[in-house]
Amino acid sequence: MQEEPAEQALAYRGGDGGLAAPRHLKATMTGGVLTLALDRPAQHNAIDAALATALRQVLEAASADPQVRVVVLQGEGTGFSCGLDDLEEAQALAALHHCARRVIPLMPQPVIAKVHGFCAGAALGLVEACDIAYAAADTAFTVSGGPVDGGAAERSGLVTFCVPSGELQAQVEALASELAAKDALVLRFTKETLLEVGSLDWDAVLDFNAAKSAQLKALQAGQPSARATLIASFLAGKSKPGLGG
Amino acid sequence: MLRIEDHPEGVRSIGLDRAAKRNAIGVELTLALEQALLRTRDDRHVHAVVFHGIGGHFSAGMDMKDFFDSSDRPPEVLQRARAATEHWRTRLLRELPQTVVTAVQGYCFGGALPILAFSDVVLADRSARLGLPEINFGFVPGAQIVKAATQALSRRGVAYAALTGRSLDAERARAWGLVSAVVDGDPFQEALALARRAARDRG
Repeated sequence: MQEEPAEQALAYRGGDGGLAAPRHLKATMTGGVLTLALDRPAQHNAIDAALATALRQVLEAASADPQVRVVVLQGEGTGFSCGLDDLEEAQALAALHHCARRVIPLMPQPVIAKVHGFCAGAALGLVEACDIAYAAADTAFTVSGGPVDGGAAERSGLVTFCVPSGELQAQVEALASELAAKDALVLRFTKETLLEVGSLDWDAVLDFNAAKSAQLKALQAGQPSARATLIASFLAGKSKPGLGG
Repeated sequence: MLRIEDHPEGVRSIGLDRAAKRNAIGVELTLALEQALLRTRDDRHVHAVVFHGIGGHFSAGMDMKDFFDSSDRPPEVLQRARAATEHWRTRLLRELPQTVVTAVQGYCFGGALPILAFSDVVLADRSARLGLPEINFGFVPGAQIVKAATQALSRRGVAYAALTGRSLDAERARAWGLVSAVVDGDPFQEALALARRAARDRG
């Protein structure tokens, strides 16, 4: 039986190919998995304004691209990232904050952090924002209480799993492929559910469930929801709901 | 469907008893659970409750044949069953005044997780496999199940379980908060012993 040749990782330029080549960030796609590598290894992947902006732009493009099923975030060279290049750099901080607080949690694809070597400062927030995080056991995390290793990072919930450093690549790859094969809509809805339920009381959560089920059914039927059709029709001037049109 | 036994000192055990389906919760079992929990909640002679599964598994979760799209049950039966499920899952379990100890062997998936989330103590043996496999079947885990899971599991744990559909072994479930202790003996007997001590303490 002939083996399929391994799919080549191609440079990612957005769903329409229009994304400018990102600065200090390697972005490659293979088999639905978008791998983003912070790429300033000589500066310990210190995040400057260019890198933070590139990260935000690529993540935003990816979130709108149905070809991207999973995102893996990692660092080139000897570690993940030492954090911000310059603590005064407001633009870098803002872009990074936006990635961690909005883009990553709200994008439909699961985002996996793959952490090795070192991880400090604002990079910790990036890792925390990712849906699932793997760390090599000998990773040096610099947290406010003092430096901790991968095992401590797992126990505290900073990362999901601490693994032997020799296994990091294989485990993340296996998980990414598994997730890439799952129903994209179901992944998206599951991620949304995870985001919302903490703040809902027990009655509201039943309403939420009913609403999500109906929304999912409509989307899975290949039809837009009736409401979406009505709105589109109204905006196109083809109907005037409520006005007899 | 359910094996309910009253033991000395005010301990009631409620055993899921549908071994042929790995105690998957179908229409009859969900209605029985609702009734059992209603009666138990209001029974002042019961001081502790032990949940367990008969036949080597706790529960494989909601019965897909009964509750998912392809169900051939009459709509009014399904409606009653769904209402009963939400009743015990989001209200009755919370309202039980007794100490609740749950013993887990084998599978413990999906819709069965709220029982653990509302337990005071969960004992699992090493065969236990717990998780939210809904995504593997193309379903989104119910929001009320995810909410219950967030009460029992760490943030990292529930995200991993829900998004990957992978099952957790007993030790991983313990590390992430879903299980209190992993036991080598029969978790049901240990759960009964623990429940008896708790019932005694309540006086």
